[in-house]
Amino acid sequence: MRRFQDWPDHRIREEFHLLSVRSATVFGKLEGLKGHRTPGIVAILGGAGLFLASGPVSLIFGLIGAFGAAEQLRVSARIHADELRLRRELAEIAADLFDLEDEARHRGYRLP
Amino acid sequence: MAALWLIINCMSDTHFPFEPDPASANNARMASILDRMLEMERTLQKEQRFDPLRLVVPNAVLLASIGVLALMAAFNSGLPIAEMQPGRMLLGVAIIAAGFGFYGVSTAQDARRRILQLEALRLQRRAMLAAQAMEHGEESRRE
Repeated sequence: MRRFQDWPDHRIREEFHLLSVRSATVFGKLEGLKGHRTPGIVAILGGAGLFLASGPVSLIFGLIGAFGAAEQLRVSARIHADELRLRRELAEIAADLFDLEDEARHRGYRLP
Repeated sequence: MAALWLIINCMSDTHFPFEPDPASANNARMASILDRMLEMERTLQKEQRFDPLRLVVPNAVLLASIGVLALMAAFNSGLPIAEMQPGRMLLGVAIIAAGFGFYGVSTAQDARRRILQLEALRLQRRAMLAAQAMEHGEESRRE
């Protein structure tokens, strides 16, 4: 039993177009997941300030650094979740694409 | 045009079996899209190659600065570190280490993102080529 056995040919062709659009969308979303390093740099600067300053100022620096580290952790966790979601979608696209290619080959089309 | 298809044939792992009609506007558009995708793939692969260096450099800088500070502390005691409380120093070291660790995590995530992008580009090209091949196949079936 093949998955796309009952589909007419034109629908399979449209599905190929749709899959290419979907993978382009995934590509764009991945482009949007650019690494955010600013909070990490803030954490480094805060830690350095804790070293170099003295008295209450150094505590303020420490507070800023800890805040930066926490923010970086949050951003990294969010990017990780988004990446997992996009990876799953990409796997779905790939599975559909391979099954559709098999079906088209089965019907006698010559695919690359 | 012929050179372009030759390049695509050489670059891609999936082979392209038919010669497209250069007169067709649709094929020309398709070829330009595929050409742009290949360019993107190449730049992504180039960016990916620099990643280990980018991960190593900030950590090497951190190590060097720690070494310099330790040497200075060993040879003269006029440094601000000398009169710091050990607890505060520990806190500063922890925060800086956390910052560098997160920098590394973000670089690794960038590398993984590029690999996924390459995968998405390959799937997109494969689907487009399959759709085009089906269209050509239908034409040849009708004839």
